[in-house]
Amino acid sequence: MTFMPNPHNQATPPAGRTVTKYGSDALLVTCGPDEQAADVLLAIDVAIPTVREAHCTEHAILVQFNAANTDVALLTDQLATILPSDFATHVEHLTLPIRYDGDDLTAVADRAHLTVTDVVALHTGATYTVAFDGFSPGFAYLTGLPPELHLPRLDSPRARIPAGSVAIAAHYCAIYPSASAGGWHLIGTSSAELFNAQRNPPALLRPGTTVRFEVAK
Amino acid sequence: MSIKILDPGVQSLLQDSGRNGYARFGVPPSGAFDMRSWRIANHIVGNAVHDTGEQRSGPAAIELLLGGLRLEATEDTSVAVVGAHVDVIRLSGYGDEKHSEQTGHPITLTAGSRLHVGRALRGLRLYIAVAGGFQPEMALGSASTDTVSRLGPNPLVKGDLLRVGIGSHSRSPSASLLAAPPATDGPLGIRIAWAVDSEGFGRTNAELLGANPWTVSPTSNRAGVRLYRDGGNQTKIHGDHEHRDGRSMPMHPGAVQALPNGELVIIGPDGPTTGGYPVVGVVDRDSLDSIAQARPGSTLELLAVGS
Repeated sequence: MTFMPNPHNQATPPAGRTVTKYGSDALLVTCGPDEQAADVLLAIDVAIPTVREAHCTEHAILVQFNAANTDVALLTDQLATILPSDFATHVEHLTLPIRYDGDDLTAVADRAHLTVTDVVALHTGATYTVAFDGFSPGFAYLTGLPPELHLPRLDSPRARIPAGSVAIAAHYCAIYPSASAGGWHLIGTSSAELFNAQRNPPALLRPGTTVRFEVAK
Repeated sequence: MSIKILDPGVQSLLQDSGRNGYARFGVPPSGAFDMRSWRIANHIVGNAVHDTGEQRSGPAAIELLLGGLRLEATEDTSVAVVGAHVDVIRLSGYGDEKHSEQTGHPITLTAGSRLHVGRALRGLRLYIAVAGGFQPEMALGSASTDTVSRLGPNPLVKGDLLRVGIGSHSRSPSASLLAAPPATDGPLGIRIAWAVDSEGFGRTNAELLGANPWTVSPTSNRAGVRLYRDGGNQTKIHGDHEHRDGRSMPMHPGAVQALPNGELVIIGPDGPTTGGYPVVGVVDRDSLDSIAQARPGSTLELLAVGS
């Protein structure tokens, strides 16, 4: 990871970026409309390694620090002005084979007025980005789902979704790392190991990672 | 040297200062819910404490819910019980003589001695530390049990033989002066700082404070402590509370969410790292330690701390 300083050395916040207090030992960074929180998070990793913990959702980053030895005003300034474009960060790209056998696949096709073949073609034709992990360890919210497949969550969530289920809801696609309750539409199955506590890093899909899906042979 | 579990009581979990650095993978910090009592218990038996955020987590102690834990030492050692108000009995010698012991003090256990922790009369959680610390297998840098995602050691069961590290011989009887949790008869005062949610919850502050006191729901656990208003949920906090994945916000333990049914949830150590309901405030570590001792049915009062 390399740091290339902004040659103009102007410390102005990008449009829409705000930094607010989140209790006494954390700051909440809200990103502007043209930014990806995951990109800002990776830049924070490089530029401000002294923070205790930092994690994100699609448009926000929570930065936790040790209040006893942190200059909060300085940290606030740094978080307000940090530009991902000033840093070269490494992101991984993955291609995951999927069996398109989900219980909701036909229903999804019907609602989109498409055939199942069309749905599979749309899903495998897109490139996805991990916006953030949340909900449970290794559960990644992927953006990049084609608009034709955007659907609200199920009216009645399932009590149990099997591990490995590939699902969609709103503008996200996700794979359930472990069995859980859930209200997303099930379109397929992945045999990838999404989370392993013995592995470093433990999550396969991490903020910034790009993903494509292909039909499993 | 090992500690044998004869009875795990209501629930016994191994907890240390928690996991740090994995929130971005959806992994909550876990760790002791009442960090203050956990820290004091370890100090009493002479264990050096690694706090949250340090490279190493630890040392692990048993977090006991409500009471009923019975254990046996296989070799001479020292333990301490800190947290809720409870009776502690030591049984030792060939006749299993019973000796009354105090919480917040070092307790010497000779080989074969047993410890019986009674049922908490006041408070909710107890921390049982041993000289040398418990040493289960670590997961992601911590020996803590995450009750939601099942990371870390399993909850303790009868027959478990817990490995213990080598303890120092120093004991800190003076730590016992700090051990007793504050006894309150009225509502527990909880300091809440206001998170400025981008949806503009500024006017919610007065509503939340005006809605005091809040009652701790029996559905509370390490994932979160739910609060409701007595007399039903007629008073709903003004604002948009529908869960929206697209407006998920990152959280840490102590974050306070407002639910559509009028309840509040204080995120606990095993709680989710992101959430779609609005975060209306954050309670500080001190208050979180106190909340860990709040029994279902007890009341809390939210007190504003600056902004």
